[in-house]
Amino acid sequence: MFRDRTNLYLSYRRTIPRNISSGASRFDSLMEEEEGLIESRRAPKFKESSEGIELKPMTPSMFDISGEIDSILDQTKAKTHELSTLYKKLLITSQGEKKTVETKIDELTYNITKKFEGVYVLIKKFEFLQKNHEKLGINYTPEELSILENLKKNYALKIQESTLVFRNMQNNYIKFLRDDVDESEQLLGNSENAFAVTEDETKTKDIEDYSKQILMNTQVQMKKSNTNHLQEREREISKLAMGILEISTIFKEMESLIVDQGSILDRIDYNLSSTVQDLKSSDKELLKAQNYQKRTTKCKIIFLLSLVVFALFLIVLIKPHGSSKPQQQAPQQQEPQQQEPHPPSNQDVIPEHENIPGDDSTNNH
Amino acid sequence: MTLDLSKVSSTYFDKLFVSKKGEQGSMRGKVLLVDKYTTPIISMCYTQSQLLQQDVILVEMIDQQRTSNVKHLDCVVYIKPTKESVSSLVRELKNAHYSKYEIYFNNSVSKSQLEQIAEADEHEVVLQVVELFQDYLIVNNHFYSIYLSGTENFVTDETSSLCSLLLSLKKCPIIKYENNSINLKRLGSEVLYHINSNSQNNLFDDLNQNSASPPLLLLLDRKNDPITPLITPWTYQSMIHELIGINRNIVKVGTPEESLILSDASDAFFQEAMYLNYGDLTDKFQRYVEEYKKQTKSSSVENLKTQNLSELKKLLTKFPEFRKLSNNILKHLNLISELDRQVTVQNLWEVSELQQIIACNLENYSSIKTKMIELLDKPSISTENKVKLVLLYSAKFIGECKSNGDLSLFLHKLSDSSLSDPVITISQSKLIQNFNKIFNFSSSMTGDGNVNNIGRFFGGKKININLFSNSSNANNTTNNIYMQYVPKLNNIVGDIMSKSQSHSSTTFSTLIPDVVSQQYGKSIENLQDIIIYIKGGATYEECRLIHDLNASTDRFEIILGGDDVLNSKVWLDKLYDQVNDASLGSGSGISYATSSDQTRDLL
Repeated sequence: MFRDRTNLYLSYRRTIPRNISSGASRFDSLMEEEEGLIESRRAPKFKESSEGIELKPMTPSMFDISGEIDSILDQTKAKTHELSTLYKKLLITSQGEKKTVETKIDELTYNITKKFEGVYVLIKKFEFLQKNHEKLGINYTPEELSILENLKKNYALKIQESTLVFRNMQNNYIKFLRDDVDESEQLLGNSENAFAVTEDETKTKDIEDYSKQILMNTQVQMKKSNTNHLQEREREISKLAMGILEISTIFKEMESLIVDQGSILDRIDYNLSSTVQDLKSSDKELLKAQNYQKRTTKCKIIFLLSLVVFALFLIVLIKPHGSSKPQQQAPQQQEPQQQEPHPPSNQDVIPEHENIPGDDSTNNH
Repeated sequence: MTLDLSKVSSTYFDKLFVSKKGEQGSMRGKVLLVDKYTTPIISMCYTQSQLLQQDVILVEMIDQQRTSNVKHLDCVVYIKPTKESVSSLVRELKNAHYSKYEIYFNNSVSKSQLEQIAEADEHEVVLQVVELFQDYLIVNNHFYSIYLSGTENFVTDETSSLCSLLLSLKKCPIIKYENNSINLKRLGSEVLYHINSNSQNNLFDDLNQNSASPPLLLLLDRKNDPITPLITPWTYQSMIHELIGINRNIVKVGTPEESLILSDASDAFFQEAMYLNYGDLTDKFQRYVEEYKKQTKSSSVENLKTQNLSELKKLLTKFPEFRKLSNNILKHLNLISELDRQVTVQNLWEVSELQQIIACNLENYSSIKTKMIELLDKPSISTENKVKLVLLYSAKFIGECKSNGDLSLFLHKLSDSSLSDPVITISQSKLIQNFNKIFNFSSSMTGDGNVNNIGRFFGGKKININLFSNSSNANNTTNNIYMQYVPKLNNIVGDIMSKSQSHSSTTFSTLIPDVVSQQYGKSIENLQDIIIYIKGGATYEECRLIHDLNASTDRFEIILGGDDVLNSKVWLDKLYDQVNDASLGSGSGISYATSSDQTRDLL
């Protein structure tokens, strides 16, 4: 069970006196008025939004893109539904009317394929935004980047779902067409065996190879076959195969984006804690960097000091050479050195002298 | 009106995320703000991709500083009504980053907190304030765990969590607790007060309207059954927890540590295998792998020649599922091989056999003693396993331990570095010496101190199982030497179901809330729903037991929970702490009984 406390909350909110803003509507209008006019206290926000407006023609925001994808996906959904009804219609219609229905189907499939391609391009746009947001001057915050990532994943999943439906339908249609014409089926069957031997192991490759093979085969068949009817079928099949080829590339790309259910990547707290951890580690790195910087200042000081010392040393060295009477000074300097040892020797001598009288005195005793 | 925890969580999450129809057809991104309490709750039952499907494009911690202003996004706040979370919310509302806020609490919020939030809501951005009641973690469908963080207000936290459980299940129960535990007495009366008090805005009124009998909230204390977590389990989920460790459904395996998710909701194989014993598990896994092989074989390249191309395409469209399957197989292969490795490294077959023999009294005292000595002399068996064995032994043969001085012999062996490596630690030896004193085995378990009494006590379980489950399950367990021991919980639940007091040694006190007694009168009969809470932690083995009991009868529905999910390591650590605390408190050898007396005095 749950309990809705909204009413209680609202009554509390109503009773609390507000000093500045009395209502949300007024506040909103105020915001609109202030927008772009003066640097209000919410200045950074408006700056950002105005930036968005300026750049809009160049780089649509991610929400524009998401909206676009949504609308396209809705359209494709409707169209695939239409397509399925047309397929059903094809089964009941008489031989004469078949042709019109078939052209309709062709058109629709082409349309849907185009739409999928469009969506795919839009998803690529997400990636583009993600990679180049700095260059474009949008400067997403980390949160916005994660929003972008999530949007991408979400739409990848949605697109994969709808392409899967579409692919299944097409597969069934191809099968139906093949069953319709026994001859071509046999041909196809032969070609199957032929190419299956040379096939790669990866399964996704299989369907592409298959589609390519059909394209080639149908071209060969076109030359061989005489009947008009058959040619048409082949053209249809080749067209479908082309569509499949395109769709499968999209499918493959989307698959790489989708996160598996039940894996650790799908855990909410894992995603959360990893961001927290990232933040923490970045903090650590920053501290480290700060340390480095401190150390460099220390280094600089040491370097400066050593420079000063070195400079002083140089001055000391050079000064004697630089002065006008270097050779006169040199002996002068040497003289004290030579003289210095003398006093101690004198001192050494003096006690002896002192002792000697003492000794003399004892001797005198 | 069933006790189904997954159903509860799914309705709650629908409530949280599924936007009301009619408001703007196109998608509108949402941001989810959680706090540290709700994060585990939500991530144990919901996944990132599910969130994405509900248009939640960003999940953030509420206490984090936000820099960006994404004014066009809506915000869903799901927090526990704690002081810190509410103050973070207040801060967020004062400086609103999003256009609208829907606030959900996972427990009942106080009026002062509501007022506080309302005051902060200067821009009037809050649309909705709703209380959901899910202040607990859902481990399995009938297994919950209460997360207790701080030590202050321990009982209050526990009570509010338990009450949220009751409210989410729409139950207003009678409360029974084991009356030899002071902690349970406090908890029980606290819950009763919580239900009776009017401050709860009559939340508990009219909850039992549709049921003929009141539900039962059974409060148990781990201290009355300290043996169960010590015994090595042999069913899949329990083994993983015992040998590898499960933390909120995440298992970390392998040398470059890899995190795996274990959830019965998203993993069909695990759902089927989680309660199987080791032998059945390996069989089942083999079958699973074979099935996979068969399926992949039909889709493999060699078979393409003979297959129809349309078949191939069908398989191709199924390809993502195949990958899922193979991932799943890989995951369980990892787990099972790790389990296998642990079993051989720790010599678990041997150890577990002796554990079962001791716990269930399958052999007489002298032969058990010789076996004990044999095992203790083996250096290959880890010290921890030896300690567990000695603890079990000392719990079983109290009189013998005293008269023959077995414990000192064992302790001597354990501290011999040639026989056991690493040598027993101080807290381990202290625990071995005090184990009986802590849990008052002498009084509660062996009235006369003789073996027959214990034998009856432990043997009684088999009768109970046969009483309440005539499935083949019971027979299986009795045939398997490694699955002989049945937790005491079975006994207790059995007694409650049959309304007798014959087998279990503990007696219960009953508390009946006013609402219940008004509705049903004083005499309570025909129990149907039982909510068990084990203070001190429950084990996966007990969870399996409850699962079996649920499967065997239609009459009863039982869910189990605790304030922790125990394995032997966690339990031993807790015991070490307790022994060390006790010896720190007043010299040495203080028993649990006296410490509880002290708390009684304080009360």
